[in-house]
Amino acid sequence: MLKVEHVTKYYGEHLAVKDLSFTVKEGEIFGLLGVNGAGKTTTFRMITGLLDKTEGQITFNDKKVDYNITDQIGFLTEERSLLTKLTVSEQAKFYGGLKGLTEKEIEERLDYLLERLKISEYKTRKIKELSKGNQQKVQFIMAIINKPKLLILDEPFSGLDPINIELFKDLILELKKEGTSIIFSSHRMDHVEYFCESLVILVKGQTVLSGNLKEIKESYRKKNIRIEGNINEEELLKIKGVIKIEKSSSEYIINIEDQKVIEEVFKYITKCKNITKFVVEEPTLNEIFIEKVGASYEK
Amino acid sequence: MKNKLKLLVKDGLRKKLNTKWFKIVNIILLLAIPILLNIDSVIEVFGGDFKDPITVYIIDDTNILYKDIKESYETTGIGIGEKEVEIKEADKSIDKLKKEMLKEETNDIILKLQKTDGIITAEMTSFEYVDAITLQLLTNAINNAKTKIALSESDIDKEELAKIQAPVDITRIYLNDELDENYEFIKYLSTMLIPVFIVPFFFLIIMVIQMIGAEINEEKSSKSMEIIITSVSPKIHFISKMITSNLYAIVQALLFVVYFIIGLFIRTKISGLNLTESFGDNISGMIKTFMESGMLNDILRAVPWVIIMLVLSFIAYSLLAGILASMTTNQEDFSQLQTPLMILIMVGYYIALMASTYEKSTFIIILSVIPFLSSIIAPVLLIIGQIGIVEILISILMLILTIFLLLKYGLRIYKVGILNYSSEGLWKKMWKSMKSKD
Repeated sequence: MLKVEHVTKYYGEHLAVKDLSFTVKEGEIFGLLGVNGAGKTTTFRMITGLLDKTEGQITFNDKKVDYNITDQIGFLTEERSLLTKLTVSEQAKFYGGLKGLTEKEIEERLDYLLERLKISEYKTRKIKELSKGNQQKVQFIMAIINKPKLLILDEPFSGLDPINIELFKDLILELKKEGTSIIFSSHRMDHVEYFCESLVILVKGQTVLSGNLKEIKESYRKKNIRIEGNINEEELLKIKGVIKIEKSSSEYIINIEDQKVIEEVFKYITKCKNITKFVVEEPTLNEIFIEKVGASYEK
Repeated sequence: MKNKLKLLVKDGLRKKLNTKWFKIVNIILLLAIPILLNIDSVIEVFGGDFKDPITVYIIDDTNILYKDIKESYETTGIGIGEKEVEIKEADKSIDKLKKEMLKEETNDIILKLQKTDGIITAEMTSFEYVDAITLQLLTNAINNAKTKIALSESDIDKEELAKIQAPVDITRIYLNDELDENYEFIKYLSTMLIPVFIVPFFFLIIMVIQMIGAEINEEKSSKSMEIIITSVSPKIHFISKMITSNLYAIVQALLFVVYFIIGLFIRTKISGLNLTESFGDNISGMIKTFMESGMLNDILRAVPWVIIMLVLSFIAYSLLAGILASMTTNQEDFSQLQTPLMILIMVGYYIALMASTYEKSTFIIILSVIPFLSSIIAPVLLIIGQIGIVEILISILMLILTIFLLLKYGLRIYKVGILNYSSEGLWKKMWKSMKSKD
């Protein structure tokens, strides 16, 4: 289990992270979210031991994170972190060797992962010759070559098409199943929702939201109602508590202030014709994120 | 951690030795060094005007100079230049010779000697330009012959004439017992040999600096540094860079030696002579004098100190290069930061060259203990006998102290520098990191 306890980091006078606390259990995927410059990279660097904390404590399985346990950590950085002049195999031997693996172990693991990500034919190719998406696959392989106990994934799906995203998802879930604690960071909230049970949202180094995702959503007052049929948008907006209405190709998404508004909207809908769908939904993480981060920026 | 250090060194060295540029450069060196050592034979193979024999037709109206000119030229001309010159008394008239030379466009020479009112004059006719060596030798031969005849006409007997013409034997006496009779020769030889020994050092140290800079920059700009530093400490990474670059320099230096030996081997095979003789009378004479002077023993005594100085210098320069490279964010920045290092090496190089001219200069001796400058100056001064063991020990201690400080404070800069991607407030950041605790 990873424990981040009251961690603060200053760069000179600049506050990068303030009093950050969270835990990631074995086999859990944890979301660390924030806009650019929120303090995510600083947090990752502190977790991996690249940066010293100004205050607080970080432990993994009750041990201080230092070079005695970094072999158990895998790190996929947001930007490419590959030596592109090397071949895929050479890169794996280098990074795997640094993680304390033998050549045989690296070879076996590499063959398995290349096959899983369907790029076995690139094993002896130079990384710089590969496409952006395939380089991302190689980068992911390097991060998990050592079967890490703690894995940090910073924008793992960058540059991938939907089919390859699915391949990645399978591997991430497989690692989770094997007990790996995973910290996941992405600007794609649908991906975060798919993977993460708990999360933290950072704004300018400060935690603006944290906890279990389900509980966060439940406690969030605003809801969405999806309606298919003929409605009058102007009439609907007159109902107290209706914030806005978005229209997609086949349905309307009614954004409401809280649960009490549902009944009023339903009463209105009963008067309308051809209604084929009326579904009340929790808000999306994207909406929560925009509201929380936006509000914090305004302060 | 030891295994990771080994892995970093092994991987770094393998990467360097496997590059196509390493192979290409060494193929070029393998060809270039033996060619340079046998450049005279290469020039001979390709031939040219210099290969054409020259006949000097002498029309001696004085009837006394021809024999002496021929003798003088053939005596002094040996071993100077490779041109085949035949001195011959003209058996045709000057006009006929001129016609023939015009017709055949030869590079022969007609030398017409006359004596008018007791003064000897010479007229030299040629179709082409005459090369400087042949011209000088002919002029000397004419003057020598003239002097010889003038002396012989002065009723001086042969023995007296031989004494006059014999070189003066100078017996050297040193009032200061501490002076070494070989010193002047050593000084002369060192002036010639210093550049030969310094240039490989200069080349290798620049190679080490550039290699460290390029590697650190590559790892920084590709962000792979972040992955590497999550697995090994900056200290191990720093040391691995230093070891790798120096091992690479050693490999390259050994390859230089191999190419040099191959070149010398080819030289002995082509000339059919032993190694010293194959370089001609002048150089072989110099080598012979050098071997007999006992100077070799002095140099051998200096060798261990020179090796210690070189090893420490390579370590110090690579540490400094590593620290500077860690502060830069791209290769262009590092190229600019290397300039002060290059200047340090250049200053050392020129001061070392000047050392034999400004004998026992206090200024140069002081510079020889200053780290980085001492790398070249101190070994040179030791070899040419301008400093002793005490001074070289001071240079070594100063270098050890510098290495200690670079490791202690430089490592702190390195730790921050390798993860810094912004040049904003760089010096402030580095200064702050230097003051931080490990």
